[in-house]
Amino acid sequence: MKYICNIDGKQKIDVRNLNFYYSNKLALKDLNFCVKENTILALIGPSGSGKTTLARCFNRMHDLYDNNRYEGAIYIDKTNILESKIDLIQLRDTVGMVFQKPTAFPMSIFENVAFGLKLKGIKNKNELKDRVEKALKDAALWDEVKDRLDKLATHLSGGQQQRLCIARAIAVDPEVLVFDESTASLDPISTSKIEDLMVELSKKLTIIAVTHNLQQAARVSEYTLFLMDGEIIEYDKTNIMFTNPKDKKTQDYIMGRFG
Amino acid sequence: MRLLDEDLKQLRVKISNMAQAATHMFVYSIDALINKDLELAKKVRDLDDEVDALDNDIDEFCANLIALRWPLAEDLRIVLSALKINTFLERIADNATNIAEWIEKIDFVDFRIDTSEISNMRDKTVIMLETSLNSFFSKDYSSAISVIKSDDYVDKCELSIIKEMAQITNEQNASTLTIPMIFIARAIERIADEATNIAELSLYIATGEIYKHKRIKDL
Repeated sequence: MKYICNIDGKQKIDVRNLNFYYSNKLALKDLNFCVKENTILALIGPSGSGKTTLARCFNRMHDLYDNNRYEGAIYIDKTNILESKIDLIQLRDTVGMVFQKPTAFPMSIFENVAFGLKLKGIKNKNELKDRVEKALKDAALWDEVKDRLDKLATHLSGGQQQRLCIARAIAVDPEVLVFDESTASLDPISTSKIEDLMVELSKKLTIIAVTHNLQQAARVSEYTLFLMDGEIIEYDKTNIMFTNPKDKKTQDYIMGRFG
Repeated sequence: MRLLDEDLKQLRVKISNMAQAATHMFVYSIDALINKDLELAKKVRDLDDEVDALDNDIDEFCANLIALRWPLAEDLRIVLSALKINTFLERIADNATNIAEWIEKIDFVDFRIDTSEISNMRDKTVIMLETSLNSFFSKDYSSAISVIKSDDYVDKCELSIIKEMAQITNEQNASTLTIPMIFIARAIERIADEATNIAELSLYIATGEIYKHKRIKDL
């Protein structure tokens, strides 16, 4: 399939001839595109189009299950992350992920954010304290939890738990952050806070956001990629995708004629 | 059918009603001049309130439609264009009202001016208006282009009337007759411009490209 890379800035991710198989089922078909650095790319498409499958390729989440298979290459900067020699722990520090349901661990707020840092071998208490505070501030949660860092994270509200997950992901200094329907279970105020946070974080990180919520894609992303049946139908600047898409399938999907 | 489709259908009806009212006002205003009918001129002025009410209704309807239905792609272009077309139609009604007001200032006792060129302008402008609105409703690219190309004809008619009125003013010292005629020709020319604006929006809906400020030779 044609390589699409009409970005106006530095390239962070380059996807080349990517095929992905669940056993024998081809779920992503010869994807070729690039992603600009420090931007938000929205992945949109009907259920089963391959959005989540694609998102999970970026930190090799599919490796957790047998019989999943990648073909092609995904370069983050100059490194092909699909190569077998890649250190997956390190890759998942580089490419963080925030899921649909908040996944706060049953431990204190502080320990949740420090979790990844400790896995990396950081033991110095002052460094841990500083980095947890910075991550919580960057995740716009610090003011709400600074007086109860030792309290159970599972007692936080859904929106707060999701921002805690973001804090945990950014504590280890990722370069790419993947949001997979990360506001789907949140109320509008919590959603708005996460969206503001995504835009703020995109100044330092490259963000890939899977969403069914077209309004959200329009609100936060600079670029939008429309997938259908594992293929790229259209990929362009979000304002163009939402006002004057070129492909009829994109137009029909965006206008709610199917999906 | 999507909820939005029902709303867009209603929007088309509202624009159609507004277009009909504005076009009637324009046609009546020129009829009032040709037939020296001051009653009809007054009727045109009275109709302006009706058009203003339709204008507000369409603005409000579009605001609700955007807020509640969140139109995108071609749907969005239709709603944005409808909002602008509404303004253009309201300006047509305002120009018709201006024509009516100028007619009321004319002393018809001494009126001895040939109105055939005004009549030509009216006929051409009405065709432009109807064609531009049809192109909006049917997304017909070629008829929209034909409207844009017709604007030149109306401009030339206006110029010809201005020249004729200048001559009459010089020869007969009849400025109380000629000045209203010049302003009436100017108002018709502006109405034709609004028809052109509507045609440009029809092209925008059909193609997604912005056509205003494009030169005719580039169409």
